[in-house]
Amino acid sequence: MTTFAQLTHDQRAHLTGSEEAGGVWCLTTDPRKVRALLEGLRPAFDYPEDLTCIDTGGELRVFCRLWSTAQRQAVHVSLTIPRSRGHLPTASDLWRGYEWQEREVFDLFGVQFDGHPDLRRILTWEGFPGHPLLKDFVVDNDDSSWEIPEQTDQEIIDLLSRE
Amino acid sequence: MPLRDFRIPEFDAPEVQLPTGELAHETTIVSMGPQHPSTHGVLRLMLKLDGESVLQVVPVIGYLHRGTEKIAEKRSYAMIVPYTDRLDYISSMYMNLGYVRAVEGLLGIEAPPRARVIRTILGELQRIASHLVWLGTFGLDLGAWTAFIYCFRERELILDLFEQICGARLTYNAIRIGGIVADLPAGWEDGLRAYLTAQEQGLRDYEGLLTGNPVFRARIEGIGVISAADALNWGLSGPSLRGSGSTFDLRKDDPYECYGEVDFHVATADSGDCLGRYEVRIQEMHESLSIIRQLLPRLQEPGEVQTKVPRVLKPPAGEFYAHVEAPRGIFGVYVVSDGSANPVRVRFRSPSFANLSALNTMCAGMKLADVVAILGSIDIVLGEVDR
Repeated sequence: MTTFAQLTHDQRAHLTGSEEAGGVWCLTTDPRKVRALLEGLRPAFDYPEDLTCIDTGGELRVFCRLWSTAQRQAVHVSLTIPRSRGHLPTASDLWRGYEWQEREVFDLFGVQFDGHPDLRRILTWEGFPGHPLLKDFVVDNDDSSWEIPEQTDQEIIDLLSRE
Repeated sequence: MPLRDFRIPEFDAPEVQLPTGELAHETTIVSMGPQHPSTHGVLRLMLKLDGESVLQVVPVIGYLHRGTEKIAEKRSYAMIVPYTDRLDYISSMYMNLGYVRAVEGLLGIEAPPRARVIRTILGELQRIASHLVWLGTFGLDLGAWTAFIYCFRERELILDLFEQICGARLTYNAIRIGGIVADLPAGWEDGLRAYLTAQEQGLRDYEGLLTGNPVFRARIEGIGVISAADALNWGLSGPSLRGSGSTFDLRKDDPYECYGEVDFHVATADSGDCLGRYEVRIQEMHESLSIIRQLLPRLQEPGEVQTKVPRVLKPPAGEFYAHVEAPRGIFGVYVVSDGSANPVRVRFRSPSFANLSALNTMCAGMKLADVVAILGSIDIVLGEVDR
């Protein structure tokens, strides 16, 4: 049984802040420390519940939520990265469930995950212009120049052709 | 009446000459969907096959992506509720509930006790309705047509009950911030009791048609096995996870609404295959009926069904994460507010998205026809995968 005090003590080198709010443990870190922090959390927090990103205007905040099935406890890990060319180490090798979630954050926010096995767009298509959940992405309903390019499936065929 | 022994007798398969040399190792890439009838919507599967054996599956999604999260940033908090109906349109009531709970958490309010009882009952009715659609279409996928008609017979009764509350049969917008749309109409409980009786008979009918059916069982037993550890690692939830033996169910592990006050059993199966997931959902329908029966007496207690909520909602700056056990698994909603009338970010964590991501793992070493069974057994709704 891990307690909040024990966890923050053990992980203090990898944290930039921590608080307990409404029964949830909220930890903040930075891109250089996040990998070590997640590795430390992996044994206790076995369920990758969520991973997403928030465009606050000035910067991007990447947010992940983990759950411990044994302890029935949630932990939030968040960190900020610059809005353009932001990149982070992947967590998809620690929790396979983050593989698609990271693809979604890459697709909709443009965040690069270093070491991800298959970082392709997931909800939009190959060749989609821009990252739609960024606040400065222009949604123009009257823009008739929008067209979906012919799908070549080249990325998928390349993926499947790998041994 | 004892069950007849329907087992297929053992037989000696004739000797087949398999190709050798280069031909034996030729692989094919096949695109299945997005208009394939067994993909339950607009899903495409890119399959790498060796003969009929599946080597790799790459799901291609996004055909139903409507940018719900982007739209939500330009809407007021109350206006987002109908959009959540369109996520998992087979269980809209639960999508409403997940979102509404997140906003209530942000505001620091709670629905009145009577509204909580009604929400729990509506949620469990929705779970049964959703599982009935799954059971019917799962049977269809595997060639069992009759059960489909029976499942939709009882689902109609549930939709009638929902219609009496909110006027809609599919996209309800019934659970509102701080309560529910209206109190129960007169005579609704009698309809509910009549439905419960019909459903108990209905469950016996479906089980009689499917559970012991040797053709049906041969298609799902030992197919698409995933271990509990793998399932957790892949972020699976709901019956897809509990079919592997995990007892992770938010109704027990992080109770909300009235789930902490009722007695029920978390259905699990140990096999981790399509049959396990089938058994869990059948068992869950029985448990849902029991939960509704336990809450029935509490419908006699009169009370408010709506807390006072300002017309223009401006939650204090902050964030809240709410999660509920939807029929397909964990539906999480993350709402970030800056104190204005529109949210900065609304994130929907959809169970089908995570469940679908493990498809490749489940299909390893299976045949092409098994992919249809496995996909059916994880019960995806593309509206919620693509959002």
